[in-house]
Amino acid sequence: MKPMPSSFRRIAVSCVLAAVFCWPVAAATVSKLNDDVLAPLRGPVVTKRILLNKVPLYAHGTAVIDLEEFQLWAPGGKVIVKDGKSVQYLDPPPMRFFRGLVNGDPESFAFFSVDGATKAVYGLVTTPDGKFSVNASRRRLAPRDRTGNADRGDDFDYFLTASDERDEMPMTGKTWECGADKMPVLTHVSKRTSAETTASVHPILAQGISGTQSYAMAVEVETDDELYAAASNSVSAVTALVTNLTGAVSTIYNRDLHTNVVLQNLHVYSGGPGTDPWVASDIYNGLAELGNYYHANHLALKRSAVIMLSGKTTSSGVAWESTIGEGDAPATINAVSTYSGAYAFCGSIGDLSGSFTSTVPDPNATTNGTLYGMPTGGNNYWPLEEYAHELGHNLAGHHTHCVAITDAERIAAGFTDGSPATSASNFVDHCFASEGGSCFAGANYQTGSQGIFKGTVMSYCHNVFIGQVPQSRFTFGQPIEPSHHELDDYMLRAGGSIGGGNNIVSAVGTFTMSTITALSSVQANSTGNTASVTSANGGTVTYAWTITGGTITSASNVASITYTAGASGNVVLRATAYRNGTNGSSFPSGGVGITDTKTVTINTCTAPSITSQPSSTTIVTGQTATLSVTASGTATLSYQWYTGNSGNTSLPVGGGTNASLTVSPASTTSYWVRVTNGCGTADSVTATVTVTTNPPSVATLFYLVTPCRIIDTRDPNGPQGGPALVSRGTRNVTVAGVCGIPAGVVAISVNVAVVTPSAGGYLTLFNGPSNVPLPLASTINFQTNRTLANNAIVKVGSDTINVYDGGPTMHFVIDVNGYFK
Amino acid sequence: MKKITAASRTLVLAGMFSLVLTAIAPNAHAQYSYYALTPCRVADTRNANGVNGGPIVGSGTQRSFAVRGVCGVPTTAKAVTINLAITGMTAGGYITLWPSGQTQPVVSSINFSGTEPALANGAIVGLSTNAQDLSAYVGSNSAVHIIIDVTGYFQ
Repeated sequence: MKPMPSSFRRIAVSCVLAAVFCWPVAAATVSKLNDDVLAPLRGPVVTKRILLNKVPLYAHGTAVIDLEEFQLWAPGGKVIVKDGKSVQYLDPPPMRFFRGLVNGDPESFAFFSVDGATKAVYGLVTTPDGKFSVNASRRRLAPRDRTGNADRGDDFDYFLTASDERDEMPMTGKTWECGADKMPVLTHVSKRTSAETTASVHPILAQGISGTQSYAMAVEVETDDELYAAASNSVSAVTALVTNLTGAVSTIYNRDLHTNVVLQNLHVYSGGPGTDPWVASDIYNGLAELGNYYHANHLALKRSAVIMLSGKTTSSGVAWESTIGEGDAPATINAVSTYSGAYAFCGSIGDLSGSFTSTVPDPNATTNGTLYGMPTGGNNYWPLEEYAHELGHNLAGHHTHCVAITDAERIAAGFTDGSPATSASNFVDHCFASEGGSCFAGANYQTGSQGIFKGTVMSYCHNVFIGQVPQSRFTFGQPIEPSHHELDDYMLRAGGSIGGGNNIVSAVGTFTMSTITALSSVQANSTGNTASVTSANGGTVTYAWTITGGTITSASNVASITYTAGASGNVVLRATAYRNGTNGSSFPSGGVGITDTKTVTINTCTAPSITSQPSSTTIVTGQTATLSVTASGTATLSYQWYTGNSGNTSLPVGGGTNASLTVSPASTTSYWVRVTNGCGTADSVTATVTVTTNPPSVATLFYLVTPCRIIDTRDPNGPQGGPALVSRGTRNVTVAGVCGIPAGVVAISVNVAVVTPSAGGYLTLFNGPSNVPLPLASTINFQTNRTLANNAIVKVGSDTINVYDGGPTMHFVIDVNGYFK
Repeated sequence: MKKITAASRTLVLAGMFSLVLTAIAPNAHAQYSYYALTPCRVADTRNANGVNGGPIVGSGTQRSFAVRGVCGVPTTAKAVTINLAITGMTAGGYITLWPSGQTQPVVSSINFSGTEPALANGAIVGLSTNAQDLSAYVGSNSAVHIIIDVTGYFQ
């Protein structure tokens, strides 16, 4: 019987946590458990079943729990921790997992986990006679106990919480189908040998599973930052919770559906609020964004299903029906476009009375309970119920109170989808619910004629609590042999060897990507803008860039790109780094990347740029000088001139707000101008207006002199001889009294020669005395080894002239042919 | 050996001094007195574009500089004594300086080859009464940077 064709999909919603039901309270008792009973679970890995004897599950007797160890994590599975800036890949924690039955009862199930580090044991057992949880509570050791119990391997006390809820109502319905047959068979899940299997008649195999085969369902588990916060910001706590939940779910699925739920990867978001990709606040949008996200980012990631275990308070969950193995298909939820597929959303996972802390009373404990135990009762069953339920929608379909017996029976009863049910007895269970009028809405429960609620994990009864006890069975219904259909295009990543409980915990690598390095604003239509990221510990890293508001002009699969900005608005850069499998570890490729986004403002204004600088000039006192600047840039350009050196804005020139400035300073003054528009400024260089007196010198007449040598530095050292003039040095030469030049001479007409200079350069001849600053001028320019002469009229001061050497250390000669006086 | 010879430049120097002699010759139409100045750079075409700045003076083109009013040269000056320096040339040639507004005379103020990085010559040149009072012509296949340092003036 198929509730609906596989091509027709709809979402199925688990109902609101039904705390509104008020029924007689069933008692829950807590008793201390002799932990010797649990000792076999802490022993070495064995390849056959493990028996826990004398477990006091019942008021008047004990039980034997028959267990096998199983592998929960898929080979290569990782805990992937993302903090918004980096992705850390952790190997699964060193936990061991056991599943089985109680006293061979096919309607029971038992699940235990052992923390490989602390040896703490947690367990969950259900039988038709009640539900039991085993919880570890850290013991406060008395001094004498520390030695006496040194070899016990742990320091926990154990408590058994038992409900007296009795699960005695037989299922009215018969069988219902699931999609397990769409999954491939794993031939190596069981650790038993065929011989052992045949000989032991293991109780799990008694469910009709032949040989050692079973199906595997690889689940990608997503969480959110709300769950991380609910777990006291502990990656370990989230991991332990999810692995324990998945282990318990796997135990249920293994028993009823011949399916091993395998934890493929667990995604934990540790960056704090807002750092996960999940923004939806309700289950429908939560499912929609999960589907959209995985369809967009992880389409190639092989998995059976993706389930979100959300810490958001939604009090319900939602999932697509019968989608295992079907692939994604366009769909809408509440008018939100998304993809249907094997996606499930479970809300309120973190709503465990505020924490994951066990409620086991322990008068000896330093704190009340211990972290990350199994759900211990009451509403703490909710995550397990919801997880199994929503994943069941992916796998199976309807709520069991909507499933009639067989096709023939359903047709005979006149029941089709959308038509009212006609007979309560035709349904798998009798948990009251009305879903569009098409499901069982009989009055039995309203009248209490059934005594108590009963339902499967796929019914609404899982939401009905009496006191602290959920009124559902952790079962899908009657134990059945899954029917077989086509396997088709089912994708599965789980494979390879499964066995052994000796996982090793180690951080196998922290793959990081930096935030995007790029200018926060760029010019409109500008080209050659760069953006880059760096990554670490990535092995072979693949990058993927996308851009809006611009065009990538380089390759987009490299760490650094160049791009051209658009005309206006913003450029949004998005970089993703993917780490491929390296370091001997298998990382999901293409599926897990670190992404950063950066918004760059497009600047449509061009800052000023000076194209023509103001020039220094010299004026005579009383004259004016005009300084001008030319600048480019987006209009309107404004100008402000300042006195002083460029950059010093302490002395603005009043009225100096034009591109040119006319001044008439009394003494030598420096000026500069700042050009400003709406998006920047540009400062000019400093231009100096040198002021000289007028007249600067006296009128003179020219007197001829028979050419005569004033100085030749090749001669012996002396006033008219050596030494050679050193590079960058100045020689003060007395000219009065030489060659007939009189004292008080104003200027001399000379021929100056340089003698085979060893390098190019120049000489500057100017008036003395020796403390006159070197003017910006030259008298002769020469090149290497070139003996050269030039004539000049040189002002004389204090009867001397200065000769500055702007070349190498060298000899020079000055001959006079006349003077002015 | 003390003797320095600069025979290759004799012609040029003679051309230059002829103006000096004219200016002070008793038979000239006007007599000028000389006023010496501390050397001062009037023009440098390597600077930013401007009247006395860039750009470089192109091959076969002329420029006029404004000498009076800067470096202490009064607007009444009739001639200046300068040092004319050139650089940036890639071919040989000559430069003629003359008072702007007049017919370009057939004289040279400096002759150069294209192999020297820089070269200078002293000169006395007359000034016109135009705002840009001193013209320069580059008689070369190369553009040439012109630097003029004034050392005094006649008036």
